[in-house]
Amino acid sequence: MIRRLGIGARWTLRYTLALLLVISLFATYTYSQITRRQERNARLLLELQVKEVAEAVLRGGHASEAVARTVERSVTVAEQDLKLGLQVFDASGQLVVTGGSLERHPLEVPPELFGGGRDRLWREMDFGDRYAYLILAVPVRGGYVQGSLYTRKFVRGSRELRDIYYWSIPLVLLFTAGLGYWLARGSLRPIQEINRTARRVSGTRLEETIPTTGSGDELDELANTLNDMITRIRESVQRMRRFSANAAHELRTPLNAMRSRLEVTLEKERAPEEYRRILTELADEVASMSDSVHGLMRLSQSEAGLSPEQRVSVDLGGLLTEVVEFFEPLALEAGIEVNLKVDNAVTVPGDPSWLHRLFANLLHNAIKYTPKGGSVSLGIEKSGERVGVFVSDTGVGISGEEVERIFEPFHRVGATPEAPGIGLGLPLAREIARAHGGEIALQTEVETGSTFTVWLPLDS
Amino acid sequence: MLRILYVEDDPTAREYIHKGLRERGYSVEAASDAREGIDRAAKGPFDLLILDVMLPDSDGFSLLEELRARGIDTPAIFLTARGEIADRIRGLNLGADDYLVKPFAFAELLARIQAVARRSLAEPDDGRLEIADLVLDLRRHAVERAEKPVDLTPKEFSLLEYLLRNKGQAISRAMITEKVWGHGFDTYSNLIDVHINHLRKKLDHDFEPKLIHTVKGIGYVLEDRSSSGRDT
Repeated sequence: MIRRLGIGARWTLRYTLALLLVISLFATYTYSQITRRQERNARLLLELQVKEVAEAVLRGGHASEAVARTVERSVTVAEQDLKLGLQVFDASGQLVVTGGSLERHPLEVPPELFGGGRDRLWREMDFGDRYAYLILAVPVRGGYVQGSLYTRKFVRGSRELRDIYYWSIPLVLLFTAGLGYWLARGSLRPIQEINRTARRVSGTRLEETIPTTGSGDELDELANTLNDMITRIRESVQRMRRFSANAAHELRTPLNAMRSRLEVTLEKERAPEEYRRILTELADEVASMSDSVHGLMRLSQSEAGLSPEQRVSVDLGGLLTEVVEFFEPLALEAGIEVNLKVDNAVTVPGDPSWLHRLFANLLHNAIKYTPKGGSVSLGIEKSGERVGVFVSDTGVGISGEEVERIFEPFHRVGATPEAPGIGLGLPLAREIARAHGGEIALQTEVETGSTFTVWLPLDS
Repeated sequence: MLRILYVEDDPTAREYIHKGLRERGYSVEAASDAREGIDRAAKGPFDLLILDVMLPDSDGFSLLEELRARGIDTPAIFLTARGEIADRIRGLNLGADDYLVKPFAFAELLARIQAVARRSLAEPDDGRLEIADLVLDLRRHAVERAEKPVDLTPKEFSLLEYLLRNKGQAISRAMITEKVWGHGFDTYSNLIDVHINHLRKKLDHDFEPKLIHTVKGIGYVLEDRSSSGRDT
């Protein structure tokens, strides 16, 4: 199996390839430009020489002294390694003047010149080395002037350039790749460090944090984000442990009582009426345990969150009216006044059943902890993108240390025997608010009362 | 006699519920998985299906869909260990079907069986629901007892309508909570007593015979127990 490349290696490879592409384009361009210029220079030079001889032919004929002199001078003056060669043919095709390198290698008459009406002919001759000779033939007065130039000198420049490219480009690439890898490794090292710590932490040691350099750069931000996440996970794990311990305790206590009771009952024969009485009492115990289980189930359901198909547009005013109507008889019996004030229509996206449950729990809670003659007020206030539903009572209030724990499952304020439920009302209310993207705020003063405000995002 | 098909994979629950229902005079056939359930339902006919949602070879919803596809439209009560099925129930046939979350009280199941079995009763033609000298007019949204108008709040009206539609049947507090107020109030079904007391004051306090009766261990029943017109 091929090991997957790390980010560092991938970056290096990618940048090296990009650089290779850029350098190749540049090299090809410079090479072709230089080659073309050299070639043009060679042609210009040869054309100049041939033209001078042709002019001499025009002035004095093919075999004149002037022609011979011009050829002689040109060949002598021209640089040796250009190997300039010139020759003149008369109208009968007879070689009349020759000079320079063509003295040793006289060329055949190029057949294309005859009957073609062309006034010049370029040709490249290869004597074992590509483009070694550049040849120009120009017809003049029935015959023609031919010149040749050894082009190696011109070609040499671009050849050398090419050779330089051949060895320098790989070298540059190699160097760049090395440098790139080194840089990438350097900038990735803190990430590896963070990764190592995160892996260690995600196992069991949730109390550890990822160290930051304090520079406030992106990597510090990453470390901070992860630390926040670890903190949240740690808190939720602790909450979960506490929750399951409490839940087990909550169920174990009645279970234990029932078990003893059953065992004692089975110790000896009893009268049928006694069996009936005991079974009825046990059935009641089981029913209350069932309620606990249902409560736990609802809590875990709301913790799992709201599915999109559960979300509908819910009219908060109407919903609160229903909740208040449901609890009004209870409040009347308890001698508590319930006021609901809804000014305008406000809708939130959510599940009506869950929201009923949320506000029912808050209102029930308020009625439960408000003494006779007190009052509970409910209302809606808008604030930007959110809406707050407050449930405010003139009840007993919640003391400082209780405030922290009031939303924890199984915590019962005052733990009065007549207060029903197993302490899941407020935790459930908060989980439902959270499932709707909201939160519950609490303002409270002992002996004065409490105000729970549910903040929910408005319908967009 | 009401014929019930009961599909449940847990043998203990199957045995006891089967026994309990038989003792109540129902004719019950039990199946332990969806395949057996479909076979038995096809041989039918039944008046009611009680389906466990979690079955070894399928689930209760698919089983019912399969039966409905075969043209069997027997009403169903689902039994589930999970609470989140409320949405799927809504998608099925809320008029005819019901569900119970485990653990549930046997009395609760009995009350639902009776309610579901009776739900096929047709809507009254004249929009009037009556018992003894109590009349609820759905069209005028008015209630009279002994020809005297009774002033009810909208929820009291719904509550009375629900009781009237199930007159003679014991209705559980949980059923009243769910059908009249909605599932969000299910933890507070004990508060139904308070609402019933309010309704009693308005309907029964100054009149004879008394119509709203408490059924111990279940809830309430709307019934004329005077010798003259005993309702079934």
